[in-house]
Amino acid sequence: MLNLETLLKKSNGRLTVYQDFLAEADRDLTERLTIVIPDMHLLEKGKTDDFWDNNPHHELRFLDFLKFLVDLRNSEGPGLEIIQVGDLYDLWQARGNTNLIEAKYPDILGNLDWLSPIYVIGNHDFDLVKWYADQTFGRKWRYFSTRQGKPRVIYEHGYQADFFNNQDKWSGTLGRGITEVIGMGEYLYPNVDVLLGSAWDSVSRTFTMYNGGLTPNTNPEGFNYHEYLNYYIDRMEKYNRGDTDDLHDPADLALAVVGHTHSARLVKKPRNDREYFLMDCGSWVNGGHEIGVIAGRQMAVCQWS
Amino acid sequence: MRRQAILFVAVIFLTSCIAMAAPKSVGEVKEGLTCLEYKEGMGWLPIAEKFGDPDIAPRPEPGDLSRNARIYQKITVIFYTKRQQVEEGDRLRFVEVVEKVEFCKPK
Repeated sequence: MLNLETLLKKSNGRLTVYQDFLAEADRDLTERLTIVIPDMHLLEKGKTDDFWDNNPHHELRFLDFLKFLVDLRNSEGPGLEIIQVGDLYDLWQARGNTNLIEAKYPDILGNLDWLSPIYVIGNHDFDLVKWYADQTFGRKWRYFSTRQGKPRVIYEHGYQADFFNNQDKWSGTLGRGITEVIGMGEYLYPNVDVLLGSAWDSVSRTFTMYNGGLTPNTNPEGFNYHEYLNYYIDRMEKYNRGDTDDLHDPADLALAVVGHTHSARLVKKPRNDREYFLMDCGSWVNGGHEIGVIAGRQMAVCQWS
Repeated sequence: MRRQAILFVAVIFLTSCIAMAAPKSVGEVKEGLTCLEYKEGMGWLPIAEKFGDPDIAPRPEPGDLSRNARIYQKITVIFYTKRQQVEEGDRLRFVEVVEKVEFCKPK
């Protein structure tokens, strides 16, 4: 398996560790070099398309990254695993579901499919699992990396930890409605979503600092990014106890990998004599260009430039 | 009596061959239209550039997101045909076949 250093070297300096988001677990997490592509929110290259963001360089940069992955697939074969953790399409704002997005990005979507990634479903492309009974277009609810037969990493989009975007609950429907209204505002002011998102973060962070009641205690879906870690530690402990219908045996999870928030980070927290990690891989929207990398014990959020 | 005679002449005139519109050539029909010739394997991009966004973009059928259908509702289709000889036993026969198809939208 390629380690992180070799991967960075192979990229000729285009792939670098983002900020200080680099850590090492106390056990091997994956059997293969695993690259995680977070939210892209592809649309039809109009005003609401946050991947395109009215800047052709964003598409070219991602195509360069895909070329790097194609070369890596050719050299590493099955030693490389690629996971796209949801919100590849933004079907909440699409004019013709995936149809017209496919028309605008055949090169990106073709290269991605060629790489045979694992596709995890996100809240913005959730419709893909709703259109037809028993047909999910290859999308998974979640995915696991195993080592020595034990799941060690869980990959989810992350909407599950977000009160206003949990697609299984009424609050998610409300959140989608609000987002669609804001999305219409993007026709007038393309960055309105970014501005309102930052405003919400500031408000909720302030309330959380003073324990103002925005954190539900019993079932801690988060109102802000800082609560995701506890949500996912609870979830990993649940899987490790074998208290789920998903897996046959108890797991040995130590890392949860998500997207969703568009804010890259890598955090660690000990609980019950072991260390748990949460990696948010960032995004490729509004100029973002991050990915998650897991190789053996190593994990990092990296940027492709 | 005079009125009846005028009406009679008018009916005869309007229903006669003289009043029939002269047949248009295909070139004349295409005036005012933007046309595109269909060729097997052609790219989607020139179609989208010429015709704009489709009126309906249906969701994909089960299985493959890369296979799509796009629908324009107000399109004129021009089939260019020719006569072609076919063998049928010891008889010489001819059928009409399509040698070119053009799709046109009003300019």
